[in-house]
Amino acid sequence: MSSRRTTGGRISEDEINELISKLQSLLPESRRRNMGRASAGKLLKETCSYIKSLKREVEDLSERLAALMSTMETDSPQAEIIRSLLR
Amino acid sequence: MHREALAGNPNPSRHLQALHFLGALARINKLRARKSPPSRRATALGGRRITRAAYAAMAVAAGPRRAWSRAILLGLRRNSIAKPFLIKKRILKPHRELRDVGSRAEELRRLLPGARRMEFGSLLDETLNYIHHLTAQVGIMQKIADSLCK
Repeated sequence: MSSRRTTGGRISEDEINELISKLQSLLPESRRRNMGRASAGKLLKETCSYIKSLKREVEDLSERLAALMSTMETDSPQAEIIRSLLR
Repeated sequence: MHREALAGNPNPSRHLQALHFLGALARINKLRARKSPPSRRATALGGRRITRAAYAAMAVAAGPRRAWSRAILLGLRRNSIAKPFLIKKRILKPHRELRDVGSRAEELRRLLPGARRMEFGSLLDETLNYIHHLTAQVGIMQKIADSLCK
């Protein structure tokens, strides 16, 4: 994911196939069913659903965090959170 | 600056993402503390502020080399988060598989910030990276929420 292609030409067919495989291994449903190579259309459809559900999760978690933060005192838990995340 | 903390860390961008998000949360918390007791509207506003902070943290961690993170860094208000989902007319292509991929790729281009006119290969590459940072962000927020519940 950190490899950067030259910005000149388009990406080759092989690289596209590689990206499609990587995408398939990332998607939760495709991974569970352990499918052979799925059709590109289905894969993209699942990718769109997955991204939408991840965005919804971010929004839901934001609401939850806003509610939690509105009930906590200002200073105490933050050092603990930072410590737990850096472990 | 964070070199000692990052040494040996297999995933430095996730570290950066978490730290940036925590900093934003601390700032939001300070703002909230100054105001009077929270109304329901204030909490809803706070939720949206946190969402923006989440995407900002993702974009900072991804850096300016990605079109999606650039789109976020350059204009938090202009990207596709707040906008309603656009409905476009489908362009029918002769071959079934092509039509399938074509309309899905269009949907993907709408979901990804900064991807409006991106060609297919780059679109896949950006999508992988976007998903990587999105899942990281969900993990970070879940951990924070859990530790605030204790």
